[in-house]
Amino acid sequence: MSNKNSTLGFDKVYVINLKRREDRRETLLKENPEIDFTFIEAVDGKEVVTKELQEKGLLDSSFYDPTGMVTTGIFACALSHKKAWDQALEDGVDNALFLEDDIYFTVPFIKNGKLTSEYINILNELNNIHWDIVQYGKKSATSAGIEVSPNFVIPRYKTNFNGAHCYGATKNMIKTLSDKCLPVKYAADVYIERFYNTHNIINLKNSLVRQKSDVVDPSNADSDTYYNDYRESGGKVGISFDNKGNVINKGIAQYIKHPKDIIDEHVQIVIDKYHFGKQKFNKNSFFGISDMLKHLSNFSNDNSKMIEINSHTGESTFFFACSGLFKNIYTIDPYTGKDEFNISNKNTWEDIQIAYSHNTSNFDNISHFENKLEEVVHNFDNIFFTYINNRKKENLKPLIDSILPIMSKEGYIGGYGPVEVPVSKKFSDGSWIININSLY
Amino acid sequence: MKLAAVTNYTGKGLINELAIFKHLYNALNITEADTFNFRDVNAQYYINDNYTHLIICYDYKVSSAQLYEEFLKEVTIPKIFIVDTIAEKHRELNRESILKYTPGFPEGFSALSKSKQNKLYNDHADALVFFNDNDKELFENYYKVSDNILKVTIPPALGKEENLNVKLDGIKTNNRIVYNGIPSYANGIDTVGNLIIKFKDYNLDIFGTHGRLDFFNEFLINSITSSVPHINFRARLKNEKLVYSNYSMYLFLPTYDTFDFFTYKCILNGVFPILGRNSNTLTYIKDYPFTILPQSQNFEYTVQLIKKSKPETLKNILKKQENNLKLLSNENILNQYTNLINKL
Repeated sequence: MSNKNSTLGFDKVYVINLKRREDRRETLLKENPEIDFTFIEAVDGKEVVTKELQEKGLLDSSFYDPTGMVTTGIFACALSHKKAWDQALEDGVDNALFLEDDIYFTVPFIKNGKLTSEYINILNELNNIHWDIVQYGKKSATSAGIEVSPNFVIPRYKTNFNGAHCYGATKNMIKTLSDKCLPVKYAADVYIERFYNTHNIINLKNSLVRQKSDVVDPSNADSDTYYNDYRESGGKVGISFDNKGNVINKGIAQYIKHPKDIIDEHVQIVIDKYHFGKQKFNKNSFFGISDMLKHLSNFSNDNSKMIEINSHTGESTFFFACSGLFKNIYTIDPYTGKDEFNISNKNTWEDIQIAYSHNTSNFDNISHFENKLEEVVHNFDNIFFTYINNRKKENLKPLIDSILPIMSKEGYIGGYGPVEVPVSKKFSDGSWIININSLY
Repeated sequence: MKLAAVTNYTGKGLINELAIFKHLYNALNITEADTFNFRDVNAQYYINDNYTHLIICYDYKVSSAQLYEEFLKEVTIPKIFIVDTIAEKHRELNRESILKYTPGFPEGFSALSKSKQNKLYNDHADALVFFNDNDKELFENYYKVSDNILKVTIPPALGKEENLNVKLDGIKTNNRIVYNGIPSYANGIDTVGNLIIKFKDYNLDIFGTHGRLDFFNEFLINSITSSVPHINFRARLKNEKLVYSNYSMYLFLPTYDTFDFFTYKCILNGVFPILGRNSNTLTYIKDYPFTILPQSQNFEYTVQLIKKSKPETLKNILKKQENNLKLLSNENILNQYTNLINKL
């Protein structure tokens, strides 16, 4: 550790400060005239645009948070910490203390140019521990964990309140933090906590540096306190979705996924994955399917039933339901197996199921079977129309043969994609239909 | 034969498990690029297209099998599960430790249930690999899996045969004792605490982390270190060499263990393990002499034996283990896996 008292035993003390928050800078300097701060101009959450961050590789397609909290302010805060780490690396420090600009020291660390005896004890203990990150304050007043010295504990992962408003880091750790943080997937404090399991992160048992917004008096929380977005939007602090599970922050989150393992994982906020309309909702597809349905309307009746095979995200299902031609629509998709669309779009089958649910949620005449066709085909009869999404570009002849027994004699088989059987009619988007009679 | 591995052990703060799997992957020529996480999107299809067999190293300390099920149902190549420990045994030990030290305290043990593990194996496993025969037997007491699933014992690998030589110049005698691992009831940390409390001339440094997220570990270690000043918790070990150069003994008195990697590393580096007589780690060093029951006299006698033995005697004791440890070489373990795979 450095013997420089004005930097509290560290090589440097960096403070992340928004350019437009000169007031915070002045307050910090006024309250701590003996500390030599190095100010880092923070990235402003009011100026960043999610899409631009993603295009620059600064933000991941998913964001993970213990409670599902997400705002542009959080992204900007994470990027500001990265900026501070990079500055520290450029300055060649062996270690550094990183502060956010709305902190206060609950006890003095320095008085009349000398470190206080309490703080000297802390530094002495630190010198006897192989630490990577030392946290001088959390969002809670105390930290629990395994005691490594009278003042320090090794905190349990995900059991202490977060906070990245005051922490020291060694040179190697600063480099690790900087190297691994892009694209941003976590808030700065959550990101730091990820290293609990791989590095020696120690916390002061009693938080000696607090963030003004964490104290009980809400007047201390000003407009740049990151969770004020929630207060303004009427959401609960720390929760980005309401009690019905609706995402409040729709400007950022496409949908959320709850953790499959509650011990290990955070809520996944999907920022830029598949969303309604991305695959087929274009002019060609719209008019192609529309023309096909218009054609079928000449032959359907009020009791017509249809099946869609490989309904995937349910986009064409949405068209079929909108047409009002069918009393019942049965969709069949086992949601398993290799699918080129899923792979190229980095979608999981779970994503596809979520998209299907979105696309079909407004219709009550749609029933889904999460099975292979052969497992459920015997459940149907007198089907007017079967639509096959030939996603794997398979030979359709055996499949058509297998559904013929359940089809009405006056019915039709339609589809999208390659087909080796002669078709009755083709449409502008490549869709086709076959009159059942022509197959006998 | 081209093997891939899927795991969720990384980033969990485990010590022994990470060392075991790192060396096992090396032995099986599984590189970082061949190692996947259950959360890797669509990795299953890449695995199906590029590998012949999948090694599955999953953590039983999860609340749901959904993640595993979703991943594994898409894998079409043969799947070999590594059963690195017996979850139900840990569940029992957790109950036992709470009854012993904090009766009435909630169990708070989140792990895959017996039925979920049974389903996972029955639905997906082509083979189960155990680290020792005792675990295999224990497993059969708790779980019911199809006889069609091969069950074999293959220990983890320690390294290339040429590197498994005891460093005899590392031998030293002092009063410094060390342990590296999760300070848990299963790993006998309470037994160690109760034993060492009387031996004020000896310093025990415990390196490790919480691991497996058990709150009870924290209670145990804090109780011990606050009442026994010569036992200290030193956080995660950052430099193994410091252990080999500073400590003469490694103390491990588990209630239940499977394969303590660091015990073998200590032998190879001239630090004498003092092991509990019921430790499964003894499976592969059967004639190792410094084993004890957790009794003061027994401990004192063994420590004195180590301290007062002639250097040549001590060297011979460690040297004798070298041949045992060479049986755990990468080459030998790879052969055993190859034999297993040929049967699938």
